[in-house]
Amino acid sequence: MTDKVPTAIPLQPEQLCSRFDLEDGNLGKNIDRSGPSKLIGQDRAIEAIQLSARMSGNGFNAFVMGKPGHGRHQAVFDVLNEEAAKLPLPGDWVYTHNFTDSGKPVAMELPAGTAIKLKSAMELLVDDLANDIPAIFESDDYQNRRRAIEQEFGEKHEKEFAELMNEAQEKRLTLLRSPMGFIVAATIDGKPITPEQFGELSEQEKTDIEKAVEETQKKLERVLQNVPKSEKKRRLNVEKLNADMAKGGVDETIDQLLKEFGHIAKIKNYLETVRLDLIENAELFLEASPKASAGAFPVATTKRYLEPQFQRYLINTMISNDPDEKAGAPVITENLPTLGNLVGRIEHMSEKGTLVTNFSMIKPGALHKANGGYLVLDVRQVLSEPFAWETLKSCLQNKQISIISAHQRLNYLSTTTLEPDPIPLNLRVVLVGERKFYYLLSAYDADFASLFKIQVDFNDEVTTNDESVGMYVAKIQDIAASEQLRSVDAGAICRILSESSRLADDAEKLSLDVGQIRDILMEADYWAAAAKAKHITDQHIEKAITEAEIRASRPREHIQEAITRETLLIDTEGGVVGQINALSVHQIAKSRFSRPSRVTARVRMGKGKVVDIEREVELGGPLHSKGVLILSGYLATHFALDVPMSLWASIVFEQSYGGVDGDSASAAELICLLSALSGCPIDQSYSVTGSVNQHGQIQAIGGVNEKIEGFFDICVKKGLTGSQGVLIPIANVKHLALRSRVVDAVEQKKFSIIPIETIDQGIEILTGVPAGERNPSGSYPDNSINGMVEHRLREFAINLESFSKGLAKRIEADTEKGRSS
Amino acid sequence: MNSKADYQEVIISATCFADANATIEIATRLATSATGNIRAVLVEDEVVIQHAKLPMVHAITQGGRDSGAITAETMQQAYERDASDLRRVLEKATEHLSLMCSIERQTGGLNSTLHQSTKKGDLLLYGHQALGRYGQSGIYVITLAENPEPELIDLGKTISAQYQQPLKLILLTSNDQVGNITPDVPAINISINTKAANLKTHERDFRGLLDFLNLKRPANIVTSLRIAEEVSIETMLSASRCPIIVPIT
Repeated sequence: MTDKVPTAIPLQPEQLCSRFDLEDGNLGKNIDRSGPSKLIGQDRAIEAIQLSARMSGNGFNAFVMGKPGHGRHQAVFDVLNEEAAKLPLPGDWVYTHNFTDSGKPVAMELPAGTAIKLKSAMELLVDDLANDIPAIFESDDYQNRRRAIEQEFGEKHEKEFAELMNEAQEKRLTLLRSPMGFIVAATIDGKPITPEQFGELSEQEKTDIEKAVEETQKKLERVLQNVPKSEKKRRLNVEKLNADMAKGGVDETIDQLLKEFGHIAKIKNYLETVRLDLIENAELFLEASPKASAGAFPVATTKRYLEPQFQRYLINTMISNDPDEKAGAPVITENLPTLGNLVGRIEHMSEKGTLVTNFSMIKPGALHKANGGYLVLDVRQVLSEPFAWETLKSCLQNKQISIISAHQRLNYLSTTTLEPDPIPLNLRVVLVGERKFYYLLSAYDADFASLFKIQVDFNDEVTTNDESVGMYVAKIQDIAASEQLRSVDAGAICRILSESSRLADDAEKLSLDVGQIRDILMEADYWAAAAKAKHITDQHIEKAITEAEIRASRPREHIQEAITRETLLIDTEGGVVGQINALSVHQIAKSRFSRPSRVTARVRMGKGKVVDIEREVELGGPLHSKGVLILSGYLATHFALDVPMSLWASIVFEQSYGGVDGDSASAAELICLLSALSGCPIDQSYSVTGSVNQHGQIQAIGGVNEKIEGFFDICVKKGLTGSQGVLIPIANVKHLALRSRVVDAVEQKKFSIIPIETIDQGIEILTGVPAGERNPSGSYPDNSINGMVEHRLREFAINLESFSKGLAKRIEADTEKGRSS
Repeated sequence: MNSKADYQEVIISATCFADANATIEIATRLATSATGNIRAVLVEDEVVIQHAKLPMVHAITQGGRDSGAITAETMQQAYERDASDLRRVLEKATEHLSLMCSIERQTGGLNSTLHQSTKKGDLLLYGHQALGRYGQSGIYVITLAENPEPELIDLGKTISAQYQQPLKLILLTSNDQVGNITPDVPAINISINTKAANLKTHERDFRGLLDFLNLKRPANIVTSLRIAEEVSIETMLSASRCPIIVPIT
């Protein structure tokens, strides 16, 4: 493949496609088969991931870029799992109730494996107290002491009132009940005095009564006002009694927990807080003692800790890393990185029509789960979830996880919510995505560069050599084994290698799109099964590839049909001046196909302008316009240099309605223009692809295989004549990986593929007329294409000059005529 | 508790909403177990209305606040308000209990309710708001030693169980005799010897009982129609300052 390819001579069949020749015995030779096959040609990427995983500095998170199907995710997980195994198991994280501010749950880091034990212990504590505390408060001891307090206070104000009543009686007064309260009434003969009786009394008697009533009223006020004060004192005494009684039960259970967890300072402090709260709120355990047994189970075994009033004493385990079950740091991925799934969320429940929440409804996110290890995320998904990207950056910048919901950010939720303690964050994030995201984020996100310092770029292809082929073979066998496919024989492997080089668009390289290779293998296995074959052979691979193409061939066939029915006008034989077959490629998903397009050129005398009709109607892209301007430059600098450029030319892609871009037709357009200028017809049996520079050199283009096959298929439909073929840039020969139908036709001399290096070579082949070189006198031979072009251009210049002079004379004559008249 | 047929109607009698309200809960409980009818009688005390005309009379609220001088008109308005409140609260208390309730207003005194508003087989509850909510010493059944009424004790036991209050039995004895009528409830004997000055009318002296109740802070009193008549229900309420339940026989 690296030998110098002769130009303007049809290529040999063996130059059209990479052929691999492996015997079964050579398959997998010199390949380490001790484990899974290694990733091919991605050493640079693997080292970058390792660097990110091992470095401890800030912001050395990794962005893994490359095309889908190249094994990026698998490689990332393989490396991270290996690195994670060397790291210590992170601690547990729990949220507990905040006993001073319930809206701000407290986060607590615990040694690995402790969270679950503490959670169980606290549940047991609640269950124990739910049984013990009611028993304490139902005891005779408590009841007697409480009754004593209540009697003491009850009797106190009862005694005061009784004394008041006695005093009133002594003053011949009584108390009446009325809707407005007590009324102190004077009495006569034991009965309340009437207004008439009162009016008959002497002034002194009236004064005495009024004085007695007023004094008693004042005293009554005092007695009644003392009642609430006394009630408050009684309540305090009862609360103190309750606390004293509860303390006994609580201390016993808390002390048991301290024996188990007291060596952990955070738990010790927490338990002391719980102790105080339990004593202060012992009535919680009295309010809801079990009313009925739980079915067949005795009441004592019911889970009292599930009751809402006891939730404040429970543990919300956010992260639990039990050393008996896990080892090393976590490697987590989140396939749906919504804001909530990333940083956790605070759930709510409906209670009497209102949304309520508490610390037990805080749920962990991927950042919590990956804390202390690695988090792998797909960048497209992160960017497409509202607030996810900004929140992820914020967490990495602040090195802590703060749970803030989208509702809170948007102020949508006007209900109770929480402000949990942020949890310190120490992890490495690996983003996986396409290159465009890396470039866009680098360009438009100021924080990106400082947060994702490690660039991991996966190769799209690998150079074909013994080592890469060997690894590729191993990979194919590995896929077959992992997918439980039939064994793949040597022929099939060779066919896959050929297809891989076609996928790479390069005969000297192999595509690293493992996903596509896997798809081909799996489909080939299907066809092998259908054929009841024991192995996957090259025929099954071919079938799989062909079938995939057929499935995607509807648009291609539609165009081919339009050409054969002459709806789209394409000639594949004969000669036409100013008309050439160019080639364009269409891509739908992974399927690519080509169609020939007729390019025509018309010329006349003008002022040195080449009109690109595609551009004029805004159907041509910038690259196409660039190509046309280059060919204009070629014309202007190669011909009739001693006269002004007096050409007006138009170039158009006939029957093109969907837009054209790229410069791969610029060589065809230039040849077409030269044909129009020289008047030499172009052989329509050929199609041309390639871009041209201002020196007339033909340059490489993309999609060369599809372009050749596209024209070949049309020629087949319209009838192969043996003289048809495609002119391609010589630089594209190394990219050839043509389908066997084309290779076979070339072998049978029914079709030819001719590499060209210059425009002159192309025009000679297509017109059969020598291009011509300038002789020592500086002119081209008269019977050469270049000579005829130059002659025509000079003719245009002379005609234009004489036209200009004639026009000037006519204007002068007209002016004179006007003056004389 | 007696069977449903034993009480024709449960009647609440009080001179103000606060007192009636203190009895509504027990009334609904007893009515649910009995006939299902509750009638509240709000008594507009003529004595109070008359007394409101005197210049030095002030009303002192339950909270110990002097609401100033009152008039017969303001008192009448207060009765209107209380009647309205009582209707509202009673209807709310009974709406989910399948109880029939009604309210009526009566002029006179509480004693008059005994005869004017009741019939044989009713259960009459005189309301009285307690001073403070705690430290009550129990349910007191008061009966005459000479004519003990076991059904009073049964009713007392029922209320005692419902309110988790100890049951106390007061046996009113004549001529310093000592008695007991049921072994499971020890009796407190209080003498009601006939007053020497009133031998002609055989008026008995309940001063000892009233002094006793004045200091004991009962939660509820259950007594007979005869005692209620003899002692005067207003006097008894004034001394005990708790609801009094009287089966009408």
